[in-house]
Amino acid sequence: MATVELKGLGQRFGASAVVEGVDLSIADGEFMVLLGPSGCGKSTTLRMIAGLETISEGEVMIDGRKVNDVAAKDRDIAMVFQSYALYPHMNVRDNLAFGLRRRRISPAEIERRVAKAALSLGLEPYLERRPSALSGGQRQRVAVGRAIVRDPKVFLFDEPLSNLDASLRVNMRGELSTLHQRLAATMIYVTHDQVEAMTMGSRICIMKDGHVMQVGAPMAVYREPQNAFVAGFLGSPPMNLIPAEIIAAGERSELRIAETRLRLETALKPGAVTLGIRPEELALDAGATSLGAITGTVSSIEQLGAETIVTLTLPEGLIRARLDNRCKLTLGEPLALHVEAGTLHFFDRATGQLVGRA
Amino acid sequence: MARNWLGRAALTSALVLYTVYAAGPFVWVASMSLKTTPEIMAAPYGLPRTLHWEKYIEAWTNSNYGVYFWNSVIVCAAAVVIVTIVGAMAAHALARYRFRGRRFIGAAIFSTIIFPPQITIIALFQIMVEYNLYDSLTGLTLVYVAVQLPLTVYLLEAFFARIPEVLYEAARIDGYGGLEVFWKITLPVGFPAIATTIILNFIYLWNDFLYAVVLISDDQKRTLPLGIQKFMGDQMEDIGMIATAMMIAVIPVVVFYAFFSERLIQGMTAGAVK
Repeated sequence: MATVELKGLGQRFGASAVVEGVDLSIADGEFMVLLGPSGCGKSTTLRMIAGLETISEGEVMIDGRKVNDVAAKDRDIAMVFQSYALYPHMNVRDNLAFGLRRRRISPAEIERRVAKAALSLGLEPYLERRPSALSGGQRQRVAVGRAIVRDPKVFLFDEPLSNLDASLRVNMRGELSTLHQRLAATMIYVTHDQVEAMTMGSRICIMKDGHVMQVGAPMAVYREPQNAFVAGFLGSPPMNLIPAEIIAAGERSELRIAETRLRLETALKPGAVTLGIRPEELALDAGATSLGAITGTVSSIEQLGAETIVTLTLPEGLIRARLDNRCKLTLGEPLALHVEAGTLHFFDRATGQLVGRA
Repeated sequence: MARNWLGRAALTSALVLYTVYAAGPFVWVASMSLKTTPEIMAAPYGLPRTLHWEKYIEAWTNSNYGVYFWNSVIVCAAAVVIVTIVGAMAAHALARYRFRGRRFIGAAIFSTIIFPPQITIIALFQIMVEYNLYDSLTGLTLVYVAVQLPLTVYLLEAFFARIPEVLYEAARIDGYGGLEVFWKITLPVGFPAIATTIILNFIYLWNDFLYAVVLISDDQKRTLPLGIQKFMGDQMEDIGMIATAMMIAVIPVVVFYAFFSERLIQGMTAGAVK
């Protein structure tokens, strides 16, 4: 177990930066998820921590020791790869023991650790099998087992569930979370799947274009996005982002979205903003703290069983709302969706940074 | 139904035709190897009436065949071992590492494949004489290594380049580096390709006549293909004994192929990734 600290970490290929100025502190025993779309630099960041990529700038510290120039094998980390990377010519037992043999651990101890890992992962019946004779889920377990037997300071996971089918992924998600609780180890987990990030992470680090956009506990990041990118990335459907304008109205402010006007309870700096509101915060009925209603025309109704996703067309764009499954709506009808105080987020139109909430 | 039957008949006849075409000469030589020369002269294509197995003993004992056979084994085995190890290492380096001059080195090695041996043989002869390697098994082994190395590197590099990089990254994290990765990952994972080059090299070198006839003169250092030539006199050719000698030369190749083709297990990498 260890702490991991990234200070101004960056990687460049010539003039273009793949990762730039990443600062991140990961506490001992924390499950940190690096989340972002393809090409955001999350895997590169993980590989720099692993020692598989050269570091162009900044520092990687593991347990307070700078490891920039330390070889991957001497960093005391273990990594689970997206493609599992099991050695095809070795059976499961040898795959698990391979890393231990190199570290001159006694055969009896290797046997003990392999047996323990195999037991905990349900791999005992497959120890003599080669990877080609295993299912995707079993291979995934072997890859995890290979990391566990090493008892490393830090576990690194590079999208380990993305090759599994949906139901297996749900199971493995639970198993990895249990594993984290049992080992209380420091884990860094890369994924582009926000459900994995939300359900597994102690904290989430959201990345875009090689930069960290926000770091925080899953629900904190979800509820209080610091910028429009994070707001629009998390959630399914994600937060609605539409152009709006804040207008001064005495001691308070007013929000104008095309024809609709909402009365805000606080005074905010007037100007053009991007309004963010989560689909589940929109309701058919006005609550106790209603700020007013956004009106538009129903342009799509998706009945998902437990809920209904309704898309409203406004002159500024589309707004999606997550409504009760019993709501009866028809396409083309005008609809007013009520907005409660404390659910609105305002982002700068140009920079996307949060400028206020109401 | 009729169509199906016709198709099968066409396929079977094609296979039979090809088998006769490919195996016919071999069967003919095999049958001649059990007949005496007068019997062959009388009926060249006839099957042997009595099987003259004693011809094998005669070829082996009376004609110094034991020495030729042993020389072939030593030269081919040594050359194949060296070519395989050096070739695999070179292919591993070319496939895995990005170093300055990599493309040039690759191109230089592979360019030698295009020259036919007849072009280089005279220069090679001079060099071997110069370095006292003419008429020696060591010299012949070195030449065999040089001749087969480019093709071996070429074949292996293409295969090794397809071994997923992530396996090497996993090995690095597991604590293995440099040469260990070659022994523990490249060699076992690349074994199907290596086995292929072993078979190709062994068969090619075992049958080589050109280099051996130019670079060996001492009877005690001849290899099998040269030994067969001994039965071809100036005045007459002992066709029966030539056939027997050829069969003795061919049998190890057949055995070798049968042994190694078993190990040509494709899809060793299946299940490695994904």
